[in-house]
Amino acid sequence: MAAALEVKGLKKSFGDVTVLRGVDFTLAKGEGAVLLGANGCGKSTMLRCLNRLTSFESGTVRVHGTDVSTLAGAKLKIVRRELGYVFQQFNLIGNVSVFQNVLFGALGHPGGGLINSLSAFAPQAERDRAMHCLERVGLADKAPFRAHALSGGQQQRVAIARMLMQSPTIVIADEPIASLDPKAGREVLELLFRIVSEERLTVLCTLHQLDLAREFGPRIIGMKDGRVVIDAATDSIHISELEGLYRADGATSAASASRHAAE
Amino acid sequence: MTTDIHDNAVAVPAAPPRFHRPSVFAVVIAIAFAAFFIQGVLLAGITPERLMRGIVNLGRFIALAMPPDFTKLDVIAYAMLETLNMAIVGVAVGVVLSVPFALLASTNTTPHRLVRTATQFVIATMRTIPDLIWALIFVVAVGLGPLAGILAIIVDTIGFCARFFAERIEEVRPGPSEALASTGGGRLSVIFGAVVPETFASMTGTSLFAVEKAIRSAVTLGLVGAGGIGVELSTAMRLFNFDEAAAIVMVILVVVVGFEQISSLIRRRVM
Repeated sequence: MAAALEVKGLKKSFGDVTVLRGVDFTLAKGEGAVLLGANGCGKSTMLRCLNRLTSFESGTVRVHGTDVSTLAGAKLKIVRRELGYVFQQFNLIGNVSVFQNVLFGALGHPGGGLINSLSAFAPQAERDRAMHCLERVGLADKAPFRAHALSGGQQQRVAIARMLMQSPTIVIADEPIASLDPKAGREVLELLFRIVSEERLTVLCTLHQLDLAREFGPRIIGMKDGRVVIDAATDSIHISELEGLYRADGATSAASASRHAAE
Repeated sequence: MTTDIHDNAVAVPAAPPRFHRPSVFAVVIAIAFAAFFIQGVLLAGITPERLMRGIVNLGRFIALAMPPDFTKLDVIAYAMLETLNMAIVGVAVGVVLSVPFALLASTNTTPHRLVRTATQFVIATMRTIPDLIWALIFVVAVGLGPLAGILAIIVDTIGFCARFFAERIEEVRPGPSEALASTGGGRLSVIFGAVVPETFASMTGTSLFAVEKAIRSAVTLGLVGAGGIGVELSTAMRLFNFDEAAAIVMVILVVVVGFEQISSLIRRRVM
């Protein structure tokens, strides 16, 4: 059985700046991992490479066995449907209703498209499903409001509802709580991981809080300078190793600290 | 304990000088401007005698124009209505057509770099050629009357709106578009699902400015025979019916000011 996500030798540079120097990791179906690393170590770029929001120079990314590196057009859209993204900045469309934002999650579905995702024209079944998704994040009562009228925590929950509407098999969360206060952040994270476990989704989530990472992630992948330097079950990693990810001196060298739990 | 900044071990750099010597570029611009200005003044041929005569003529005009003659108010009102119709139809079609033009001309929504350059060139042409000249061209093409005026306003509106729409579209945050692209949505879905809604408020504001602009230009388009109240105004002026012309100008003033009030009221509620 193919892994949900398989990344091998992923390299990416912007001009002269090399961001990813060969990233390798694998996520099995239903597996959850937290991705750690200092700002600028390449986490976001790596996550954006997974569905080719950003293209990359070399290496392979396989989603359920399908290599995405050369996909284009309809085939790329099919793969993108499998990956549900939750972003740091929520990325809701501000001028339209919460309900409409959730409906847009179905844009890529077969028979979906723009017309069938617009609140005025969507089939009743899709409208019901969107309300159901909002209900699951506890915001069904906010459906008619404009997205920007909501608080940050609520906006991120709407983004999670949109992700649910997409019904992906893999969830990619890029610092989903970095723009939220600690309380709202914890609530959003608990909601996200509860939904992930209920739906038995594969999840890769970046965080900056080591305590939350250890609490929510059964497995931790640590990146430094464009490489994976830690990849192990959370229980087997000492906190000092994680702190090393954020030190500039390279105390956590790729050779010494890397342990591959998956193997 | 306070620290005296003069005793700091690190020397503080001197403050910037009070005056800067102007750059060569600034001097060249200033000289060129002065040359054009002086030449322009000489060209106008201002003499005390001409100025005096001008004041006398203006006084005679005002004397003839007062009191305004409203006896043909029905004709004037009908012409004003035609003017408003021209403006509304022209601006509505122009705004709608501006959206595809703007999408083709923005870096983040254009299908190709060359399409963008070509569209920008077309928009710039529409904007650079004044509306009166467009009206002259369309009078030749479709004959005298409101249709020529409407076409001129459409082109003028696209030149104005498409440019501002495109600037707003290029400022749109990439995030929402990426979110919709991540769901597997197609390019058009992303543009009309994320980009257009994000720019909607700004587009409404720009469109209302376009309405005000269109009414002002619809008034003058009649001067070259492209329909509307300008036809009446130019006729009255040529026949030296200055009192009737004054009435027309007053009607224009009231309607245009009224419309600008309504427009800014709507804009305040939308923005």
